[in-house]
Amino acid sequence: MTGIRVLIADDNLVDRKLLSRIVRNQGNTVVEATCGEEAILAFREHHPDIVLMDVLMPGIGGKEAARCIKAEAGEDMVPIIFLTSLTDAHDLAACLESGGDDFMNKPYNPVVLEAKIRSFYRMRDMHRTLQAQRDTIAVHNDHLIREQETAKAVFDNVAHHGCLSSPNIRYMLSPLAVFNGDVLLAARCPGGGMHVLLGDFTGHGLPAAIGAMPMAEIFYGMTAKGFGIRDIVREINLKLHNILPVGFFCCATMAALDFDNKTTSLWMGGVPDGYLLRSKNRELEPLCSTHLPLGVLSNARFNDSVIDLNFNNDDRLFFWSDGILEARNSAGEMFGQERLEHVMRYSISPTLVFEDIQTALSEFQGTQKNDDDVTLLEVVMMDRELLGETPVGPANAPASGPLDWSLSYRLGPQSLQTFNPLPLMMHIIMEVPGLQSINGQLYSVLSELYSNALEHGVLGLDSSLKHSPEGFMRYYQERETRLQQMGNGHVIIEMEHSGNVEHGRLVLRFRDSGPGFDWQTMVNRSRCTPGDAHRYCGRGIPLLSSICTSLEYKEKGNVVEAEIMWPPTAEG
Amino acid sequence: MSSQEHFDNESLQTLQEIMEDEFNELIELFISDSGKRLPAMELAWETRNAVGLRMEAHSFKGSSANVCARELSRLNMELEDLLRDRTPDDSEWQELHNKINAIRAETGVVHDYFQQMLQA
Repeated sequence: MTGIRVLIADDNLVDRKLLSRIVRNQGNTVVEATCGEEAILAFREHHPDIVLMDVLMPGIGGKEAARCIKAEAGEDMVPIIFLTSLTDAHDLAACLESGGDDFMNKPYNPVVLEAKIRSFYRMRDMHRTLQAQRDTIAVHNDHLIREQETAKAVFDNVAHHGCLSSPNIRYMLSPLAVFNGDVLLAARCPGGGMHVLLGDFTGHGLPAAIGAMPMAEIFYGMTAKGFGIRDIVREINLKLHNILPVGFFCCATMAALDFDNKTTSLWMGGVPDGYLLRSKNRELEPLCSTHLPLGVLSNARFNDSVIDLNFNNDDRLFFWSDGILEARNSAGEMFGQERLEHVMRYSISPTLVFEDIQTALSEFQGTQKNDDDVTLLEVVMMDRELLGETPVGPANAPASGPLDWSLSYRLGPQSLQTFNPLPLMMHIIMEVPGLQSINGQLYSVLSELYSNALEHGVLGLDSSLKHSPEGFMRYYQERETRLQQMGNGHVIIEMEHSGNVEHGRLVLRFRDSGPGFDWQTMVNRSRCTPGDAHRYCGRGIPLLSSICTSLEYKEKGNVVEAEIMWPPTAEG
Repeated sequence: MSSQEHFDNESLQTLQEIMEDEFNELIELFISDSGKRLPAMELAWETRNAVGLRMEAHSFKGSSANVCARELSRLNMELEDLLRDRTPDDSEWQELHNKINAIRAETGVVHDYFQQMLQA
């Protein structure tokens, strides 16, 4: 072992010379100082590895010098061994208290001295290694945090909150880490509805959050293209099933809101019970999960069936991740379903339930920290007009596209039973750049014409059933039944587009296999009651008339043709 | 005179081995340093400077121990102990002077012995 730099501070020349010789003989470098002040200066200049310090020296003395050196060394470990002919135990103890690490009695024993120097050098070396490792860890940690922040920015752009700021939504998200295993997504549908999804991935932090990215992509992408809740949960399940490791999945509740028909469709998988709180009589209906979480089952075994519910104005849906139920107080008890239900039943007003849950939770938890991500969501039904404009779909379609085309698309019984052609039709239409700005309206037209053709035309459902909320639910059940029992029938969708880059004309023609109907009477009736928002029946037709340049029923009423000119003239 | 009463001979041998060519220089340094100690002690005694006297004794104790002058170191330790944490009265000052004289005599012995060594 060479090159240990040793500072020797001793006012006695004889002692200093002797010690210096011993230390040099052992292969070390020596710096000498004759008093405390000199020792401090020499320390600054030479940065010795170890200091051998006489206790009693003129001036500030060894103990004070030791204190200064230790203070200047800061985080560095500079061992100080006191040289002493003191014999009193208290004096020796005082040496160590002033910052000395050890002492060495005169006369010096070279063997002991060498052993001490080596031992302290090893300690200093270890200390330096430790510090270097600590610094390396700190650098890595900084790096990791920067990476996480970048990842988080990307993550937030993908799994963004969509329209969670809508006036009909209130939510609380309290993540356990930078990344959240709970996901809240909300988006307006092209037809004016809204999709909301609350997901809770297995685990916490980055590993849990990473699955949220494809989920959000699918949720927002498919919603914007007009896909329905069942298609979306199925697609998310398929994706998660393919990408997540075994044992990882996403408990989720997805709700589709229809602001015109005042209904909601729910898919719940692996989540705690939610509640529907009716504004009327404050009835509280529990909503139970009927499916396995997303990502568990293969596509073939996955069940995308939903619960359809009437959802009148000011009715409220409450959902949460299990983090809220499992939040613990200082006694280790869990918040639990009962406490939640109690708050919902006994809040002064339904409008205060959300705040009351938050208050009850924070009072219950006290200063206790969460074990899990905690998410709370309230969704209220209100009139569509109060929600603001439906956002225009993603403007990522090509700048130039086909302008002169037509197609005829025939859907037989099997297709009608299981397939929703609207996203596909929308996709084709959206290839025309001039139509992209009116995608919401176009979706409404397609959606209305298609359901008329299918429900009234092919299935022969009586639209007057839809006059009351109860009837509406019956209508839906009947639709499902007839659809499953349908042996034949078809809908033919014909589309034609012509025009140039400035303007164009789109014709949509729906031809169904049904017997037709007395469309003349229906059109007249709905014209007589404009703006009657409480009537479900025939509601689509005045809506369509305002978007389309012309709308005509043809033949026996089983053919309807809509013409849409673009760019749209003024307010349409 | 047996050097055994005054020196730790075994340690002195080791010291010689450690210092090698610098041994003589070290002994000369000790002789000149300890030569200055006695006048300093006398001055401290005359001015009744108990702290100063004790510091001298302490330092002399250390350096004589380092050159293995066992008896000289012991005498200095006794002087240091007599002055520990107290101010001596007149009769005690007399006693202290006896101790200084003893140290002077022992210093003479040590010097003589070292001189012999250096000339050998």
